Amino acid sequence: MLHWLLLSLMSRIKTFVLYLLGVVLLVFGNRKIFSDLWNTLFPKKPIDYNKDIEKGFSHENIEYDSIQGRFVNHAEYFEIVRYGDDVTDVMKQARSTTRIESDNAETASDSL
Amino acid sequence: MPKQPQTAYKIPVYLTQERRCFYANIKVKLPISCSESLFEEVYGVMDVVDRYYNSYTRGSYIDQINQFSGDWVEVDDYCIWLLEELKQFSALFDGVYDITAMPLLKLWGFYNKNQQITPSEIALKDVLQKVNYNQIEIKGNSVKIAKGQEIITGSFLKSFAVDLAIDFLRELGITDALINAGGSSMSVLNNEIHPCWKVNIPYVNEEKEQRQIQLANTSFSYSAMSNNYKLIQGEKHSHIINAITGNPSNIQQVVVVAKSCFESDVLATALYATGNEYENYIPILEELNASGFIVDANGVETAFGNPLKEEV
Repeated sequence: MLHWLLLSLMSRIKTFVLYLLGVVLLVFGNRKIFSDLWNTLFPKKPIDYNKDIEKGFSHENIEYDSIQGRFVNHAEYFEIVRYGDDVTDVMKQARSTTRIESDNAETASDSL
Repeated sequence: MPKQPQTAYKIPVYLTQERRCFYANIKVKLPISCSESLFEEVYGVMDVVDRYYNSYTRGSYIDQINQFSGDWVEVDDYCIWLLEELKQFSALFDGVYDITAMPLLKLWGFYNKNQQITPSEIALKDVLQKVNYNQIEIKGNSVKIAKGQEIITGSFLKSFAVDLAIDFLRELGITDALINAGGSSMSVLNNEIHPCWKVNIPYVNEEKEQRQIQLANTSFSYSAMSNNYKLIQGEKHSHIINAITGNPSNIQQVVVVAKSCFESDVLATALYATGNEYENYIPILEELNASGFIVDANGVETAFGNPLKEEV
């Protein structure tokens, strides 16, 4: 009778020890569980690493003009600003034909 | 049959554009490796000069000085530099070269096609009173010319623009280029691959063939009477006038090679204006390290400075 009681007790202790071992492995086997749990309970504010860099850039919104059929940038940016009301003749010739020439001799001529 | 040895020639090629500016065709030649958009920049530099300093451009500094003759006009540093330099050149040539000579050109009918008479002595004497570079007053950034005076920029401005454009190209690291302002002023850049540019100079005597000179990292100016003259009663009168006598010069041709286009242009015009007294002024050009030659009214050619490199 005593022998049977001892065997029964040992079996329960074994079950308990194995259960305890299972729990320990479950908890301590995953090291991230505490940091994840901590972050879930106390979430950190995300760091914006581009915050300072972006100060050096300007942002321009480009809108699509459906009437003209092209994108329009309303912001003033790098544009060649010409003084005066009109464009002089030399700049009107902006679409002048570019030729390919060799180093052929130029001819001197009197001009005003 | 054995193969003949072959020779390959490396021919330099350039992007070329020609635009109308300063009442002349301005030709720019850039190495083929350059972007075509560079032409915009180069002509842009010259366009600024045209807008701000050309006496023919309405609202330019020189136009304002002319419009408000007798009053002080505020101008920029470039304008002051130009006027001070030009006054010095006028002094070197004893006033024979004078940028206030516009009233004389008007008197001789260069702006009136219908005028077919030479001006009278009285009219000349009257107009000559308005022609005097000493009456250009400069105080700080303000300029004043005497009432009735008028400055003309034709003898120097496009060359000044060429100098600025060449400086711009040089700063970009371009070492081989040419700017030809109407054939009368040119400035060139050269490197060891392309050591010189060639320029044909027409002979005044049509029986002879034209000559060809070489230019390397220098500027060239040409004054002659083949295209721009006033025909009065069958007689040709040059558009370059001696500002002391009031009469057009009878010189046939002047070629000047100098370190800057501005300098070569002013010197060519000034030497041309001296007329028969040109020999007295050649030492001035030599002192300024200018080279070239002059062909006088009788067809006598006189060279000065270092001999020009001629193509054989």
